[in-house]
Amino acid sequence: MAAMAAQTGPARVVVTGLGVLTPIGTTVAGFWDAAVRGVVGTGPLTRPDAADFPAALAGEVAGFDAPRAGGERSLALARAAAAAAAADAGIHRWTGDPYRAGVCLGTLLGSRAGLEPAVTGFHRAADAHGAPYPGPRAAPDLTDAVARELGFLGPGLAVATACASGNSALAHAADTIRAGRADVMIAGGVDELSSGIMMMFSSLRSLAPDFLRPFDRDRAGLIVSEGAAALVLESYEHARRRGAHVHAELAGWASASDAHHMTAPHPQGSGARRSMLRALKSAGISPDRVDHVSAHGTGTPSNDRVEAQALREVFGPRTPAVTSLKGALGHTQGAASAIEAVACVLALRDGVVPPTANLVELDPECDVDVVRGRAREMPVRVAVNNAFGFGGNTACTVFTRPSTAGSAR
Amino acid sequence: MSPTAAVTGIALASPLGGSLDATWEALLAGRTGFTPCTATDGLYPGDAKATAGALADDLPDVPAFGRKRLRALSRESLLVSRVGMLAWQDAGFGPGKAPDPEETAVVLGTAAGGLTGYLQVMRDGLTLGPELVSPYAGPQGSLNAAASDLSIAAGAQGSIVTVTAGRCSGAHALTVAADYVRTGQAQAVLVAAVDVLDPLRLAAGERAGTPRPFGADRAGAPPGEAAVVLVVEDAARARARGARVHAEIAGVSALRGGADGASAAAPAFAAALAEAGVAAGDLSLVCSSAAGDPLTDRAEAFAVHGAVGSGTPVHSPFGALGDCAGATALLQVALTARALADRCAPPTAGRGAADPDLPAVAISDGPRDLAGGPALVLTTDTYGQASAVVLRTP
Repeated sequence: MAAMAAQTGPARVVVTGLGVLTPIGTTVAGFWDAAVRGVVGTGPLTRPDAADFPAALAGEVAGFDAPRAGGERSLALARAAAAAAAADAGIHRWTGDPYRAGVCLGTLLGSRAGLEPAVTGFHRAADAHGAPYPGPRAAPDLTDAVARELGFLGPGLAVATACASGNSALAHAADTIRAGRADVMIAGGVDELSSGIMMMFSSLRSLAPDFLRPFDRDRAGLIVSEGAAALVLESYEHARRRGAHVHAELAGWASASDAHHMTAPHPQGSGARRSMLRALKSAGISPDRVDHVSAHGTGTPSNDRVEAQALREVFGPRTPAVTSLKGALGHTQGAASAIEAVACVLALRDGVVPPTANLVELDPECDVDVVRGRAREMPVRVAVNNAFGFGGNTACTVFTRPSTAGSAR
Repeated sequence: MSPTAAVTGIALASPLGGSLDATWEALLAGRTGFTPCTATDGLYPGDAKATAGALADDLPDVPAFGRKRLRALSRESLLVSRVGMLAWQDAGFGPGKAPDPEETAVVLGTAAGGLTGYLQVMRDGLTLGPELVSPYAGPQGSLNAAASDLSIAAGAQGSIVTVTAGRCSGAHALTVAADYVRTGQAQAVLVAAVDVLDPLRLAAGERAGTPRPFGADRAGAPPGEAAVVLVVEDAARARARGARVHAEIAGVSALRGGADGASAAAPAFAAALAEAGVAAGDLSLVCSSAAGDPLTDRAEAFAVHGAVGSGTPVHSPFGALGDCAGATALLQVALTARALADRCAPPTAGRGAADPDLPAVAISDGPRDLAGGPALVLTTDTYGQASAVVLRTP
């Protein structure tokens, strides 16, 4: 009976490839080395086409010169992250059934930034209502670009839950594998810098004047960044059959809605708390077995207070080792939780939790075990990745070491 | 046996009317919903003028909203929240008679949701200054705004996600909803799809004339707009509470396709039938998304003919509605549930002369009675992606 259940039960989902492009590194090794050292990737904007951005500070993916116009930058970021993840998984171009391999990318704005040069020129022209700047007729399709590049022609879509989009994409890709609709999925997130997102956070008075300081007493908001991350997810059986190296298991995932307000988190962190608990339940793991939480930790006064409160409700007063990579990365929008998922996998691999950059004095209202100053070496067997987007869209993922794959929990 | 996902609530607004009934009657009568539209609000370069399927502004109001909230909502959010409340009521839910809010999920499919809000933020930021952008406006410019507003309006605290995959967005949303119900991630799911006319779509549609689904002189589809919301539940649970089941979702496949210009229409068609355990010959109806696009209509004609030949009734509502973008697939699902319930296939408006280069499919200029049996909804888009949904009556 048990053996039958093992054969016919839902597919287990494992991570076999990683790819990232971030303000602190554009390879997995470079990114992780910088994250563990607490390198900060935000600062004054230097890109040649940055003149129209309404913020002076940002986190740029350095040495990546694809232009904003026409969506080229978002497409290039997505393709580069996906290609790196696929290569890491030993897949250079898919040669199996093309309809059994899919793509699921999380994004906040899609490739809308590609419309901005035309829109900006239009509004800044002396005669704004003629037709001197015909713009693109559509924002290009991120998923299509990745799917064609790799030959992954099965289920393909983008997923949006604002700043939780990366985790939501991982969750949907995992559901797709578990339901048997695909054997392998490229899942992750991508967003580039845009005037639109800066104006939005500026209108919410959410932009920090100097640094993003997660959980700090003096935190004053976030810094907008860009980036992309991709993870190759596949069923354990599929990975085993093709002899792939398994980095980690994506053991659980869940989402929940605050159903409260478009921009403010629920005051008691209702969605955040339920999202964590449901993700752990779906993994069959009790909260006391969690070693590490990669926090959403945006450095805004409300998020960090509410997240700390939710963490204490889920884990009790002795929380797992919490870190927020956003001090180092800035807020990479829809890519954030995908990049942080890559970090969770690497924390499991190396037994190290990176420090929360820019955190100087922990806010007494955020009384959780935040790793700060320097990285903490410790056994990491279970890591929870938090992501809470505006609109009250929350999504959490749970990663475990590959050694638990195939064993009873 | 794994649980079956069932549609227990349907509401929509289309260019043919503010409800399923009005849209259905107009389709049966062979009416079309096109009007001249102009993008005049100075949001985007150029002054696009196009014939388009625009929503009438006569949607029944729903008392679930305060005036203050209404002002803060984009058009997509307003439509989805209003239509969503009607679908909720259609499912027999209401105050004191609703599933656990924590087990109520929201899934939205949209191709370009929030685009107009985003262009408004850009206009205000560039012409008035970033400090004068409304804090309410920004979040309405993102893809997930309408889903979030629906979850707030309905008090739905369960899983939430917005999916985007061109015209197939609604099929992906339905897939997510069926997953939620089958795996116990939700008891009830509000599945929405929306896209509205925006300056980019109007500009892209400037050259399109009358839509000619499968027609010889088809030359592109005019843009259309629509909002659709379904309530999806576990079929057994729905019956246990005495709910009417409009249709069961027997199989869904949504595939990207697109390699070397090849459409995924035929493989999606076959995969959805296989999941449903239905033979192509048993289908009583195929609802096509053909809207007069040269390539996608061709892909659909070959996929449909290859599967069911030229005997099974086929219809497309998009000769009357235009290309409804991310609302397309869910609109087809809603109309097909109605077709199965009424055992009637609506006519396909606008075909004109048949294209001799396409294999024959059984579309008709008038309504037809249907034999009993499941129906398949086929949706394609210009990127090559395709989705298929098999529906059956309980």
